[in-house]
Amino acid sequence: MRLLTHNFLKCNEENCTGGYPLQIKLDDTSSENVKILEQDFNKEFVKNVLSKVDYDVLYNTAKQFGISLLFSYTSQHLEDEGFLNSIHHALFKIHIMEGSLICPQCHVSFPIKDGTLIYIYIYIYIYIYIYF
Amino acid sequence: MTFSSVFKINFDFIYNDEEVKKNVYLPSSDTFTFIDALENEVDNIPSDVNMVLEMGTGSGYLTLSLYELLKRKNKNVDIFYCVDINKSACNCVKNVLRKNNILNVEIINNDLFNNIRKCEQFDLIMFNPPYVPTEQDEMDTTNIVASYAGGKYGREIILNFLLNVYGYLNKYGVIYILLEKNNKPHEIMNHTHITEKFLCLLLKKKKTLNETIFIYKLKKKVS
Repeated sequence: MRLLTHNFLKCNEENCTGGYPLQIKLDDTSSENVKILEQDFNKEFVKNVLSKVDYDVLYNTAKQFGISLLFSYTSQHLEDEGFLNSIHHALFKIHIMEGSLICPQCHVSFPIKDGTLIYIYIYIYIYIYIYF
Repeated sequence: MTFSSVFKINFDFIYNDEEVKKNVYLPSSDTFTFIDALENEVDNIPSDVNMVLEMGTGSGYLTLSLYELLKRKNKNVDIFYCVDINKSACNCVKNVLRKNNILNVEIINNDLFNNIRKCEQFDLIMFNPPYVPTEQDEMDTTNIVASYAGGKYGREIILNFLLNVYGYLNKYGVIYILLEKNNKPHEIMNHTHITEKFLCLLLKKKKTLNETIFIYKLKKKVS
């Protein structure tokens, strides 16, 4: 799971408000809980995605993975390939393989297994049938 | 003499894996009808469509067929999102991707757009939904039943999707969705909730023995 995806996710729980961003917890028992994988750099795509993500969340999350992004950026930075490359690295190349996402509000935890986020929360419905 | 090989996805895993055959919706006539429609659309898809999402990816056959179509036309998708409520489907997609050395895909085991932030982030969204009319007791599953169970008129999941999708699509983004006659597609596409937000185009209609499939293309109404 990439940090791009993490940026787009908020708590899955029914009555939870303020469950964003989710906290990333890596599985320490796993030998390869994070992978860095190459991805083709597309300048226009990075610029485009920057306008969609929550930058503060990206900045803080990247820090957790040892990436020091610019604290904030201006339109000039959008033409700086060095800056765009750092964003590209943070958003696309870091892959969380084994871990979980935890809601800071309600503490529910969603596992990431072999790079796939298991975000489903099973709701139990109680049906009451009234027959006339 | 050298031949340049045409790019081809290896789908063997879908047909050979026991768990997939038991738990995942295998490609059928509805899938192939969808792909036919996409084949005709491929020239309309911009050369660099950045983010694609397939809702209800199932085995991954549709996403990877689109990948194949685009690749053959030298068109590039930066990242695919594959979302499915069925864990076995997510596993299947993961394996098919690995067998084909495809890395630019994110897989999320999730129920529709549940708590994914609306950021107008996707350029293209496709959905071959569960469209079979079923009773309520077949709803709320996360296994293969979820691949077909559509509830009343077979369109409960379809309506949920259509009523939520707007905020996930960017300004010039496109939705491709499959409907079946039982869903009453004309009723859906002419409903004000849809017509006030989207322009709808019927791309393809195909009648088979048991069903009539409609493939629609939706674009945002931009003022």
